Amino acid sequence: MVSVKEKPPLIVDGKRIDGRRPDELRPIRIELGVLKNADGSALVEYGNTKVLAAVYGPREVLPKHIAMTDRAVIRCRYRMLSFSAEERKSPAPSRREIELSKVIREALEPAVMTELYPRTTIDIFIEVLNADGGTRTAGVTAAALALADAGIPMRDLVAGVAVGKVDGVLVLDINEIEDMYGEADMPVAAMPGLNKITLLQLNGVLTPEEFRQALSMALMGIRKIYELQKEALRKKYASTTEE
Amino acid sequence: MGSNIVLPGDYLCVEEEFSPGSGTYVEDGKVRAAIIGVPSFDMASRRVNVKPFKRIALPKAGDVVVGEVTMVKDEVAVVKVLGFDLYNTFKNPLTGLLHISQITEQRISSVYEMIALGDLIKAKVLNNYLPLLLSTKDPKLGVILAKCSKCGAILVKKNDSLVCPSCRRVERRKVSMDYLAVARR
Ligand SMILES: [Zn+2]
Repeated sequence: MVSVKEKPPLIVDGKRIDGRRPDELRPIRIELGVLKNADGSALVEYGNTKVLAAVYGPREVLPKHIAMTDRAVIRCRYRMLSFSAEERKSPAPSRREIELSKVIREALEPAVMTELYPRTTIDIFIEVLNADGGTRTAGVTAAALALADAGIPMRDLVAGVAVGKVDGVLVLDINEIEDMYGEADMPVAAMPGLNKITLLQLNGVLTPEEFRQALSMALMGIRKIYELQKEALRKKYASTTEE
Repeated sequence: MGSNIVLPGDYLCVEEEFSPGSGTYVEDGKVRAAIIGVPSFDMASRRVNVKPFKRIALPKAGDVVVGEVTMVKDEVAVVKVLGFDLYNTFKNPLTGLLHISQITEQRISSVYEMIALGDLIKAKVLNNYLPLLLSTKDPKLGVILAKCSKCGAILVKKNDSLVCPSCRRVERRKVSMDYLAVARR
């Protein structure tokens, strides 16, 4: 990781610190069905950000008292994996992990047809294998793929991306440094096929005009990610029909 | 080949053309896919279904399942449902209930007369939610493997009764036609 003490210039000659244009996504990579024991799984990379999502269920609820009689309960656990010894922490989730687990679950809930599976749970595990900004939105994108891969009925796929404001410029798909030193960041997730936003947060300050621009930039990025999600799913399942 | 695969959210048709069948849903008059699969438009029923690539491991009404009896009371037996059959088991067992009225066509006064703790049963599912409600009335359904309550040996089916090969005890069950241990003639 780059260690930065003072804020570096984030926009130089119209280019960002990693060479991208303001409205450019990082290279996105998707791999499906990576975990054989999960009902569905997906590995998603936004540049150096790498997250793994696993889905189990619908399955019987334990403990029983959390079951809902009219729908499935979605449980989500987002976790930062830390491999280095000095970073190793207690197994209990941090406040940030608890908060992001909730944010990701709420971004996915509108898509999942939980009413079909009363008294069950659908468990989503998101492991952040490498964090370089945008882990919650990459987590949403990966979890939606894992849910679809598990065969769980959904109204649409969900994809997410964060827009930031750095050195006064709106930028798409922010990395860690842009997140750290930027003036604002805005994670967004949506069901693009249905034109519905399922997650919208804003940390920092944007003018109403900037907000409007940031949102349309995010939705453009989400569309592109959505197409990549669909391409990956079609590719996997097209090859299974040919067998 | 892959072109006829649909994904969650994919538009299929308007509701007036085909009504939404399994694997689909309707919103604002538009029928869309809910799962990854292959769509089929049935002209006779005017219905569109999406045939899934992956079957959700939850039984539906009418499915036959196997399970182990984990508790017996006068009115009901609790069954740990293990899978669609012994070679196709679920990752996570499900809870099933076998009520006294669903065991056999005969009148019985207690579940104990026909079902014992530890029995392996084959049963039909009656509902679409948990806990699964089970029935063993059909001749093909019922106990498929049972142990002697005295010595624990596996009981063998002889004509219509279950006999212990080691202590000769005879036990009564609602025995399935598919009971697994059958005496040689
Ligand atoms: Zn015996």
